[in-house]
Amino acid sequence: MQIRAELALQAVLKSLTEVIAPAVDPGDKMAQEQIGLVIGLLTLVKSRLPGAFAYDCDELARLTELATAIAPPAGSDALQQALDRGASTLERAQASPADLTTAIEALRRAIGDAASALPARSDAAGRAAVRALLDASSAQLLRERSWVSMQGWESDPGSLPDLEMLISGAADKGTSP
Amino acid sequence: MTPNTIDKDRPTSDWMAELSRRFPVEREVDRVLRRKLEMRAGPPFSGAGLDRLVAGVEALIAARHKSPFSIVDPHWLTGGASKLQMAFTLEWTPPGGSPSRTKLVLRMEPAASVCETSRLREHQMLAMFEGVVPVPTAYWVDPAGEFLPYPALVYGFSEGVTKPSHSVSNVTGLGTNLGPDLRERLAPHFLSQLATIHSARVDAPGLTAFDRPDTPTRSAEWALNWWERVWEEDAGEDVPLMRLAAGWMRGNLPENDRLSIVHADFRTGNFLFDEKDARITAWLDWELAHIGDRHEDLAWTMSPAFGHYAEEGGAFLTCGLLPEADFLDRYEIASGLSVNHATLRFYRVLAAYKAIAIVLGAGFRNARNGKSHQDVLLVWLMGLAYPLLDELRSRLEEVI
Repeated sequence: MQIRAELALQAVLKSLTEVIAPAVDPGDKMAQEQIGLVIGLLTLVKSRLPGAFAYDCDELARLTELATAIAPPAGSDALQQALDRGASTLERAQASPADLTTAIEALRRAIGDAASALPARSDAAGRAAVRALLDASSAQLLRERSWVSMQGWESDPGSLPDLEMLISGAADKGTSP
Repeated sequence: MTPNTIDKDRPTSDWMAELSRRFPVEREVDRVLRRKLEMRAGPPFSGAGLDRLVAGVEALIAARHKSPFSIVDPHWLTGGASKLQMAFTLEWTPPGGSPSRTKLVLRMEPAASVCETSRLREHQMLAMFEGVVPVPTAYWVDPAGEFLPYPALVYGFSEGVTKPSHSVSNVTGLGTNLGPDLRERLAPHFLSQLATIHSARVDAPGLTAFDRPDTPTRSAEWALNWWERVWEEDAGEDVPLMRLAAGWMRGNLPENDRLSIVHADFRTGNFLFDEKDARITAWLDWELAHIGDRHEDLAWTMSPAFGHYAEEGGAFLTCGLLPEADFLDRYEIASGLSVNHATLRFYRVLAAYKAIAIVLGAGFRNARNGKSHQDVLLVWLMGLAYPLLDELRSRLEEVI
């Protein structure tokens, strides 16, 4: 999926600053103020978005450290339960979003390199690999089409399963793509 | 050199040379694709204020037209995804004419375009088809950006609309619903003008910026090379299905039985029409036109991205005009040229591949590098790639 927040925000900010803001009526003080605030807020979000996951991990680490220090004297069951849950979550949050996208890109590239030569294969293993690639593409494209369905490209958008159902795996148990 | 070491945002001369060697295309196409990569590491798009463009147009016209003139009422036009357009009125005395006010359009490239093409080729095609099919009159061209910030051409303003006044469509005219009455009245013109283009001579002396395919499979080979090269140059994350498609096409290039002029973006949204008379007033966007196989046009025109279903659960309409089978039958009658269905299947794979290379490859790269005047539109259009990829998958299922 390439329509990611960083790219979309970059393009939106360029449009707002170079095309839309200069066209806002200078006499409309509220519109002038709010276009400035919109640009400022989106700039803040864009600059902080890449670090948001690391920020949350850092905060959770420090909170678990603090909770570890005060749980015994506090004697609170609720605090101990929250601490256990937080520590467990922190332990599972080892890979960052950037780690995930880097791994995805590497696998896409390696599979792509292998895919170019597959159509020339006439043996059973080659044909099976082509079949697997087409089936995997079908499943992935269902998710990508659902991701952007609100843009209005589909002639029958109602036929697409909800994205949440697809990525939770529920769709695979019910309907085939 | 492996893909892992390539920084597509800062291309090296070795990589550029390798792409040129791996994907041979027409000489002028090679030039513009190389130029795109040479400029990629340069600054983002700038210099497009109306004042700057008016000054550039004045300089261009002054170099070509030696009598006094003035430019009035410059303003922006919207509608396309690949070029920047400014309308204006020229007060002048044309050669051999009397004092006139002529409405014109400046069509200029951004720093990089989703369709990286040659203004010289577009100018030559417009000049060739003037009086043959409705096209804007081509006036002047600045092929290397000598007068304007980027390469540009000036052509006549054409009256008409791309969609009915009360219809709704997505960007660049995609998904336009003309309605039952207009579609029935426009379809004959659409078909006959496509037939006329495909029957035009390919050896016209004015087409100096075009190479003619010199072997039976060269049309398909050049078309595949063009778009596989764009995908290699521009794509962000890899799409294995695209690699599979390219591999299949490479091994199944069809032979061309006849060379034709191919418009290469012949679709609803790219012609203007008079809403009252249902008459096509101008065919626009000749930037991708070339000499090749007519099936390339047929396949592109039949892309699901440009059509929709008829009302009340009816058939899928090619370009929102007529069902696919009718489109092909009536094309054969209008042109006297046959449709080879095996060749058409190849070009339907290529049509989907090309559209994806444009919106997901070039669109991504140019928006990421801030190279256009409407990056936000390019990011929006990237979403179209996913239904197109599903179309590509379906087409491959038919042939592989």
